[in-house]
Amino acid sequence: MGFSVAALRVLVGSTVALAGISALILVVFLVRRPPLGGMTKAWLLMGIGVLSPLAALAGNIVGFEASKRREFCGSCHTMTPYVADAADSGSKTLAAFHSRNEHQGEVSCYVCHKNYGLFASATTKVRGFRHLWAYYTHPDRPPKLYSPYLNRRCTECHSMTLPGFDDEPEHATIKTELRAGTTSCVTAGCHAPVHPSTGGKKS
Amino acid sequence: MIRSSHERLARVAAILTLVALALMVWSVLDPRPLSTVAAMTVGQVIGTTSLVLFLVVVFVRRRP
Repeated sequence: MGFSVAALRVLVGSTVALAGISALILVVFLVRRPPLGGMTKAWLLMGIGVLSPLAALAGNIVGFEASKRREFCGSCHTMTPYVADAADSGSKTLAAFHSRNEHQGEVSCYVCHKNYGLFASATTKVRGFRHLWAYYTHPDRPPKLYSPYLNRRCTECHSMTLPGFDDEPEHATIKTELRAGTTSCVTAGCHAPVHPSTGGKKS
Repeated sequence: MIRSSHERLARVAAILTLVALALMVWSVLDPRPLSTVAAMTVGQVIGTTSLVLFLVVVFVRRRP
């Protein structure tokens, strides 16, 4: 899923190198103040129009990938109990179980909380701005979901259409509600607790 | 006069690009929410503005 750590390191290095060369060109221009001739414009084109957009491209990829990681979510102190629980190998919460899954692992917050659909990444990032705003304007307020957790986020991986799904008596009795999304998968008594704040206890 | 204003615009574009690059480097070396969001919003706007200013300098000066 996404870029490997090695690829991200290459991108970080590329961003710094491209930005450094671009900055060098621009600082020389600012200090020496050469006339705006063809050669000066060519250098400026390199610094402003080629190298810095490439640095921005590489930096944006790094930013998008970094913002998927659990440690990124945990860098806001209100998320500490959630992230600590997810990393706890002894925890029985749903988040901890999923974080031990190789498919989700270090990006488990993002995998379970991202939006669904073609523009999922973009809309998830936009929603992240709201989280950031809330964090800096109300740093002591506990985090909350802005809308009910959708079952389709679970069914991206756990399909309700596989034969085994209806074999579970609990699923069979409420399958219409589950598929319609009127009953949540993480209702108390079903697949809850999800996080420690929702009643998760270590065994 | 016009030439001087173009040179001033080019210098402003260079300074804005340096600011945008600084934000981008900060975000990749210290990828936390504030730095990442700053680079991907404010940094993008500043960088795009600097590119537009540079293009204005280049294309306006080329007109007879």
